Amino acid sequence: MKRCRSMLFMPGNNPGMLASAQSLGADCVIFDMEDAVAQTEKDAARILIRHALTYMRPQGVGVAVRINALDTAFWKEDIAAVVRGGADFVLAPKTNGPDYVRELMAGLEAAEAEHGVKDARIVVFALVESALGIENAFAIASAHKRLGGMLLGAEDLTAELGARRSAGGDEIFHARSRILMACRAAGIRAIDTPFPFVTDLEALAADAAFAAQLGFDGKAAISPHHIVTINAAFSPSPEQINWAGRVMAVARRAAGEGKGVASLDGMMIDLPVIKRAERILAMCDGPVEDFHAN
Amino acid sequence: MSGIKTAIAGTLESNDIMITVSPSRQEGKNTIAVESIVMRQFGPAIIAAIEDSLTQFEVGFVHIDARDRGALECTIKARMEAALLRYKELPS
Amino acid sequence: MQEFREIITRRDHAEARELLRAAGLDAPEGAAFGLGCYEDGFLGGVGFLAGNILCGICIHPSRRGAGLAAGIVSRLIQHAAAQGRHKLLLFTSAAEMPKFQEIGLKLVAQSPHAALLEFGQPDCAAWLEDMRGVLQEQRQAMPTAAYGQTGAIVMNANPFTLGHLHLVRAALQRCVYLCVFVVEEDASVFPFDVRLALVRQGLGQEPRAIVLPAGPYMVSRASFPSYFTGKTAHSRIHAELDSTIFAVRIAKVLDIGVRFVGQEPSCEVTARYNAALKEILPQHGVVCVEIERLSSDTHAISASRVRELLAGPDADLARDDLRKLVPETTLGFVQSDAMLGIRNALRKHQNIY
Repeated sequence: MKRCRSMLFMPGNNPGMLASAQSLGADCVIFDMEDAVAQTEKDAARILIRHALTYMRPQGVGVAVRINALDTAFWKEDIAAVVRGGADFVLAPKTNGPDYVRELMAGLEAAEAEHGVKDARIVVFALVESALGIENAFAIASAHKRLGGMLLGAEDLTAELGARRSAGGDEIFHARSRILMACRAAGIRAIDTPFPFVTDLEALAADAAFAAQLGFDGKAAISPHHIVTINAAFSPSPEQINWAGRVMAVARRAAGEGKGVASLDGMMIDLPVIKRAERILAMCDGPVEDFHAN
Repeated sequence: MSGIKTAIAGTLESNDIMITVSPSRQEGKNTIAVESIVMRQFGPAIIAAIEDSLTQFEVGFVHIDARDRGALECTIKARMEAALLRYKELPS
Repeated sequence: MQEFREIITRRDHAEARELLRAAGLDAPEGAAFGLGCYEDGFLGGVGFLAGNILCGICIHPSRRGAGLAAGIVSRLIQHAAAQGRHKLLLFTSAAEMPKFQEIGLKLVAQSPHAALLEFGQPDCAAWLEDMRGVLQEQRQAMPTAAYGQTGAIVMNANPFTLGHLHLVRAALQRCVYLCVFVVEEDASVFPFDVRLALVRQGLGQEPRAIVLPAGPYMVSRASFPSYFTGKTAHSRIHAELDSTIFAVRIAKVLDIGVRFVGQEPSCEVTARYNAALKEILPQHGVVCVEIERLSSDTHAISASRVRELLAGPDADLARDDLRKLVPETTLGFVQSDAMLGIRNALRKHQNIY
């Protein structure tokens, strides 16, 4: 499981930015074909991103591509470019219901078939950024097995609601909770919305800490300056890491001995606990294998 | 307004290259003009990347004007591809 | 986050104007496509495209050196390309010139205070090559092939008058061939193709005069902006740049040894232009000769007097006044139906250039 504590949006038509992707400290970068690219430059950005994915894929960093929405003329070609270039994630903007997810998956599978890609390695993340999308959160989260996570997009959502965006984020509390609940219920990852007040790093720290407190796995960012703060907020504490390492060790031991049920210090370890441990290990710095090998 | 069929791709921002494609000025061959901030070290490599793209995408004989601001090879090829595909789309 | 947004609303424009004003620049006049580079809502830089002219490119002092100018210019180039404009010009101060050269624009010429840069084809060198070809062709077709100096004159000819004819004839006494460049910028009440045709017809009896379009490098909106705005504030700087371009680029390639100008009694911008030509051309080995105006009934013959008459009642067209100002060829045209539109425009704007 790729770490996604921080997911950094990068303008898709800017070769200098794309080249710097691996050195910015983000767990995952999002090459953006959508909002960061003018209508007349969609073709050039798509080609540039495909070449970047093929010839200068960032190392040690997850790579996502935000394609254009399904109501545009661009998305099928966008998906084809991602399939040809290869990426860890496709980020689907403006996801508003399960049909949207299924249409996207059909497009993805068609592109994979056309280009002879058989490993179905690309995981889709849904960007939910409308009132309808929030209302359909669980239906979206559980719409398809290749959907690996959901991201809240609060800018479009608050604009639609007529809400005023604040550093404290009271206006998006409900949306955050809905997204998180839906993701946990469907067993996929939950990523928080970017913090929009770019220069206010103090408020960012509080915002990221609150999202982590709610239970989010990570947070998107629109500025490289946010990465350090976000990574820190979503990194598990040494105690949590140690706990997760012990859970996994016990679970593996039980599996090795052919036991169906594992226990740790006399308490039963069930699937949700193992999943939680996995998530914690996926969020810490350094190779996850360190904790498996004891 | 010039009536010459012309397509542009890329920018003049650092790490990018701006490619302009227009009909060739010499019959029966492609012509290439490159200006680069790293001409001395990378001039031949830039021209080679441009020629590669010209071979890959058949658009007839063209003139390529390239203003390079330190683009990597894959960026040069991406901008060439975008410019040549745009050129192909234009009415003659 | 960095965003490039079109300058649209009054508020956008006010913000852009303020940025320009702080840098001592004027906002571009007339219809121009403006682009702002906003960083988290802060206007870090602006730039405009008016026709094929890049102008008003200005970066906030706190944001210089961050590549904003390259971003703005690139997007303006792309915007122009989408409109079918592939050849752009940029007028800037000598101090700012290296910045634009560094981002990939090509220098046409530089005077002590100003510079003209360009992007796209045909560039100045290519344009001059074409001009040289046309010139050689025309010379070969001429009866006399005597060796001697080539002269040049640049005229707006709005429209062609007996004054222009006099100027050309006087100039022809001092050179073997005379290039008569007609200002190509379509900013006058007589459209360029009409002005060019009337000059060609008017000089039909002068085989040694070669009539050519002046192109983008002689008295154009890019080389000499104040010629078209009529404002005198920067006219000296503009005139110097235009003169320098003529001396170091045009005269050199077209082998022009002498430039003729008509004496200017009334228009201040033109008078300054003449003064700049007289000062700068000799520095580069080009002679500048000022020729006295032809007068009719003690009034200097000028195209503006002709336009005044044309703006008047129809009866004036038949009067001798007009006949004393323009040759038969021009007279035939101004009396024709083709003139109706132009005369209406003249009546609407008495001061139209």
